[in-house]
Amino acid sequence: MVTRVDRTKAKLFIGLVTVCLAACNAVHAYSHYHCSNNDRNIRWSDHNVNWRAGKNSFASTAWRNALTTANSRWNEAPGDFTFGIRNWGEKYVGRSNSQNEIWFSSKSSLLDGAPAICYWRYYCAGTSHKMLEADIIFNTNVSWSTTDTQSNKTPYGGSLRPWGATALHEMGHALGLGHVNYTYNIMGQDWNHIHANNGIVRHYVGEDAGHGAVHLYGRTKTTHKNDVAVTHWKYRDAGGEYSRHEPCRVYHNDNTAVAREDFNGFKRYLVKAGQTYKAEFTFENNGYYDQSGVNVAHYISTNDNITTADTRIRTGTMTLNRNKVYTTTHTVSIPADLTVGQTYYLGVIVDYTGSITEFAENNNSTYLPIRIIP
Amino acid sequence: MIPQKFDTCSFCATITCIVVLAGVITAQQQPPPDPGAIDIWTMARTADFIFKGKVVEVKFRNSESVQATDAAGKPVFDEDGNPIYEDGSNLPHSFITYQIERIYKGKPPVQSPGRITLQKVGGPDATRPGEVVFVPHYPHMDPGDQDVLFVLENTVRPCPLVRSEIGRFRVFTDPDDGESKIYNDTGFEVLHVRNQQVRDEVDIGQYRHFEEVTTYHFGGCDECTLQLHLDESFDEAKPLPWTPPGPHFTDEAFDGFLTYVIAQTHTPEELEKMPPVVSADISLPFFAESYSEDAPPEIPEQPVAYPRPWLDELPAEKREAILEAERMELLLLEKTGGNPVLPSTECEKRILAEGAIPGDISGPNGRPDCYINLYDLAAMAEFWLQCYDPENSKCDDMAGI
Repeated sequence: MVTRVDRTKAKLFIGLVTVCLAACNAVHAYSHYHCSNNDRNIRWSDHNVNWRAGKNSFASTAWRNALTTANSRWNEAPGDFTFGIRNWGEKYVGRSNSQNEIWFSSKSSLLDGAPAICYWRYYCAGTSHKMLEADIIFNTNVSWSTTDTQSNKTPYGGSLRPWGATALHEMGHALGLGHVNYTYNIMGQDWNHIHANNGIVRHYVGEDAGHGAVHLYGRTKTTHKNDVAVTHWKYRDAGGEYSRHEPCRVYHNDNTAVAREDFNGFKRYLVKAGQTYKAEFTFENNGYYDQSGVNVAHYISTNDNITTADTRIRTGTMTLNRNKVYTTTHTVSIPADLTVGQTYYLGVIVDYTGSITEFAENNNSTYLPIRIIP
Repeated sequence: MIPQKFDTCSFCATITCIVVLAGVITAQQQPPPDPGAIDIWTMARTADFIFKGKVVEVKFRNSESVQATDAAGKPVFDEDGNPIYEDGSNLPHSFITYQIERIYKGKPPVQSPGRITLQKVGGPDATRPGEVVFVPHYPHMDPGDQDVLFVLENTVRPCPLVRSEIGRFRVFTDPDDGESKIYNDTGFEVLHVRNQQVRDEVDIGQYRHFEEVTTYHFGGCDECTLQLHLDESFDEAKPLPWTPPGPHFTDEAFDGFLTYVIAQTHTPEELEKMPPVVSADISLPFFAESYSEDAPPEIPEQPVAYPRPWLDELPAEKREAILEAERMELLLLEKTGGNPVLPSTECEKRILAEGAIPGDISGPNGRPDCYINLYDLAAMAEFWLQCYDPENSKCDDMAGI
């Protein structure tokens, strides 16, 4: 139960919208709904939803794969909740028909221009506290992407919105979560809650929503419960009910921001060889168990494919608990032998020793482009 | 990557070149609209009725049902023989009646100039007691709420406000100074951003907690009340610098600003020609418009290969070394399934290709090392210490070691 003291703390924190420099570790903060009469979480009693997927909406392999992937991203999250497919080719979809359905509609006016919407039905009488139905409707008038190609996605200067990220957001509603506007999270602005490396993006549930799923449903029953990750996006501020996100930055030692320029739909930072800077990234523990002594290394690479084969310039350890989104900086020295005028990639790998067995190993590295200036 | 790592690699001859140095770069696009941003000027232009009022009554009624038919026009039934209805059938709706206090744009309903009833999807189901349809993206109104609302197509749209919850501004008494001020639907201060060169704008400021914002009542159904809960294990958080881009709108200042915005976005003739706003009538049966079910377009996606002109400036030998090393790196990354921890020793490459030998579960770095030795014994001992009870569900976490 949330006490008045808790609310006061929440009040203190929720309004904190600020420049995020070193050690700005956003406290986790999912939201969800309670039945007021019995003060219990509203949730699905059987811990799963199996979608009836619209016949026209999910006729193609590409869209079926996209939905299956979105389901699997929630299924690997640390909460004991799973999404599945009851059937493809559902002919008659509708809200409030006691069936869990997912479909696309071209009636943009009904969607009020929104990319998607989730309707749900609940029951709180007596000691009940259950979700009964969820329906998700996507807008066909949005230019969606179903692939993992980075360059044509909206966060990277492209024209296509990553459908998977929006699907994860709406599925978060479907399992009982509300919007969150005070940390980097999928229940805020979803399209730039994303991981990228080597020209490939990966949408994911993330620490905050995953933690919310644990709160509602307990610990996942999957074998692999661990996942650490790093991304080059971070929390910016609140935009209404939604958190807004922006690229991480490089800072001078006095915490002033390094100049940057537009670069291939993202940002490139102007740094000098042989100097030290503070490189900012967002680290998350998307798994169930807290992790201490996590090995983190920074690298210099000639391309956006960050691996342990690149030149390592810093090592250290971090504690990554499942209750915080760690947007933080590490001091790195740019090698003196880098060529002026050339673009490099300041990379980072979390668990660079491969010590943690994770359900997703392909979200452990990312980068910030840099250009060496005289 | 930096080239020296794979200069002598034996795999090089087998690598297919996949790095394209030149390609067509697509036009830079605008990101999706900010879902929470308040574009007050567009919203003012879009709304067909803008008013301030207080909720005096909320009632609920389900929409009428429409049975679905097949291509031949015959009613259709599910596998259990039950009739199938069109989307929008029997859908709970809320009828929220406001006492109008001030009109900024448009004309009041003809039937009841002092009151307007808004019709919105969601609420207790008249046919299934205790069940409630809820839409997280829609605002929730309770009796006593005082709001400024941007109404659009009342009785037609599922939520009759411009951009749903964004089209609602709440009036609360600021507990700090007792003054009436403007907040958004979720309790954030609404700020007046003054621009010298361009028009003034509206932005969001500090969050203020109001019980009314996080509690959702549903008429006389006490067991339907919802509460939005925040994470229950907040850490202490140190306040960080906050520089609001403008002052918090007082009720009075917002009145003046909205009046100004309306005057700037409409001519007197346009305002005069506006028809009276439609007010919902709960006594009349109604139908909710159906969401169609359509195929989304499949947009062909070609990866953009961005040119790297700085590579062209390098001596040919150095450039080739870089490209070769990158090719090798990519090949290994594909083999690891995207895991950036690439094999660097012959042992690691063998494990990647063939898997670890049975019994080799650890090594000096905590990973298999192609030897069965004391490291493996130590790892097993550690496992036994952590998991000696087969009934312990935590044991399955050790499966990966």
